[in-house]
Amino acid sequence: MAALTLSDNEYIEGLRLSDNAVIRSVYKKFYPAIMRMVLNNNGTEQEAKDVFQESILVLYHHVQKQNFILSCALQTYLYSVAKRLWLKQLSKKSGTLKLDERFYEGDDFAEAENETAVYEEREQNLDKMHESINQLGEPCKTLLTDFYIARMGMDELAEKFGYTNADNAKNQKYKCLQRLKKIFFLDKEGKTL
Amino acid sequence: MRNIDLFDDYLHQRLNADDRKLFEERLLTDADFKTQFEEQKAFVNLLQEFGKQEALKSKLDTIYTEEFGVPNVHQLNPKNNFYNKYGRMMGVAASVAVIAVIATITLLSSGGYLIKQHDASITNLSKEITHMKSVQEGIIDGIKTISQKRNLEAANVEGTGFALNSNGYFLTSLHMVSKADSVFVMDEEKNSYHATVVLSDVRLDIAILKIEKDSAAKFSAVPYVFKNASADMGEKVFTLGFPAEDIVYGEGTIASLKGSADTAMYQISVPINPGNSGGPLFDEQGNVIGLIKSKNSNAEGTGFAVKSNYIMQLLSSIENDTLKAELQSNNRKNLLKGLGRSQQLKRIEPCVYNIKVFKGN
Repeated sequence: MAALTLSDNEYIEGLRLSDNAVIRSVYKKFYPAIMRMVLNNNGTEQEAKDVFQESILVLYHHVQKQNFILSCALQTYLYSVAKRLWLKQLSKKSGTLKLDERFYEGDDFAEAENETAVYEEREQNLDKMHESINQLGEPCKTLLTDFYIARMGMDELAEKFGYTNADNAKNQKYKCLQRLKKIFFLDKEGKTL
Repeated sequence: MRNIDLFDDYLHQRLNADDRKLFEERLLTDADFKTQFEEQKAFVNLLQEFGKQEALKSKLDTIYTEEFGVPNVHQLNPKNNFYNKYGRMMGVAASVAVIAVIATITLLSSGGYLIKQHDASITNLSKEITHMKSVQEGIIDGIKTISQKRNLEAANVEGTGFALNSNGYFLTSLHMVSKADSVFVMDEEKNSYHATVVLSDVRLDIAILKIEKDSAAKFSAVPYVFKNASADMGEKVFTLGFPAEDIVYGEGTIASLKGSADTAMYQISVPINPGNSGGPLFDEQGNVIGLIKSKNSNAEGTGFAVKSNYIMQLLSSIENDTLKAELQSNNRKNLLKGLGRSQQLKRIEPCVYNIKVFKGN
């Protein structure tokens, strides 16, 4: 597929809508520099991939807000955020590391630190949600995601999950949500496990 | 109607205009109701954000895989992945010159303790075969610079490994895979699978590799069992390994129950060569009794193998229960007993792998 040439705003709009073609061209356009940065600084492809994806998620998190304004070039934004994320990871790794000298050269986008921090705080909650949902088990997990995320109607859910009617499905959903909340909030306060 | 259901209906815009109006009025007047609503809204928002993020992640993964394939979990090595993955992006053929090179010297230094213990007369049996030099002209920006900035020369070490069980776990020598950028396990049909080191023991010089389950690899049932006791001096033994491109059989006897004064090793008189490192050592019945480790290069026909009972002991001392269970052999009966040698070899061969290791500088 031919690479799209898009403006930064078009990238952001496409990302907001999580458009496949746009995401593909985001990879083509912005991934190489970030991959190189990670690979040249003690990283693996897997790590480059993860760092890039997380940078996209940081951006995604921010573009969901209606008042999001990109205050630098998208390339700079993603690169700076990725660099922050990778530095953070490197500092967690033990042992001496030989970093590419260019790594320390001035960037970049001054807001990157803040952008990442805001995201990371949210990310903790999202991780918690992830764990809680996984602990929840089936059919609750699918029932809740179908209802709250896919926004399926009660009739549809009743049919899919084999409940006798919509009210029954609604009751199940209610129970599942209560359980999810219990896991989520208990876990959050560290009382379970 | 429960408040939560009402909240959900409101948030999903499933209330009719009148109910909606009533709902909004109540929000203004009933503080408790409002608090409950805000809580539910925040929770549902988080749930929805989680859903969106998961969807985006899986989309990112899918597109990554379509564009680049499976990422290397070790530091990039040029031979196996680089060109395959980025070739398409570069849009040009990269020219690769492979220069064959020699020597086990780097290996000895990475094996480390071996040199200290026995001086350089004992050679670890992996073979370092190639240095790769890549010369390439990239066109598309961004990619081009990778090859220029990164030193693509990688030492290339080969040896042998064998299946511990059919869960995707393999035994090999640690000196082969230590400090590796990436490790590949190559089966009979020359399919290579990326492997990670899940466990290693410096004292015994063994490493356990794992191929991820979701890879396309199919693991044969393992016909042999691991002997949990010491073999006897004078017992006839044999091995299969990769001192060459193709698998090679070798036989001999247990020459001593101590290898180089180490009770964890046998000294064996089996013709072994670089590339045999990490291979299995069998007794006549086809029980695994050891793992080929090294040889004394000053005395022909003097090899060393780590005893299987020491390996078993190590495996049973693992504290991670999940891993411990995964590493259990799923074969309790030696299916090779009573078979002629050539029949035994036919059954064993699919479980012996050529291990290819890429090391950076």
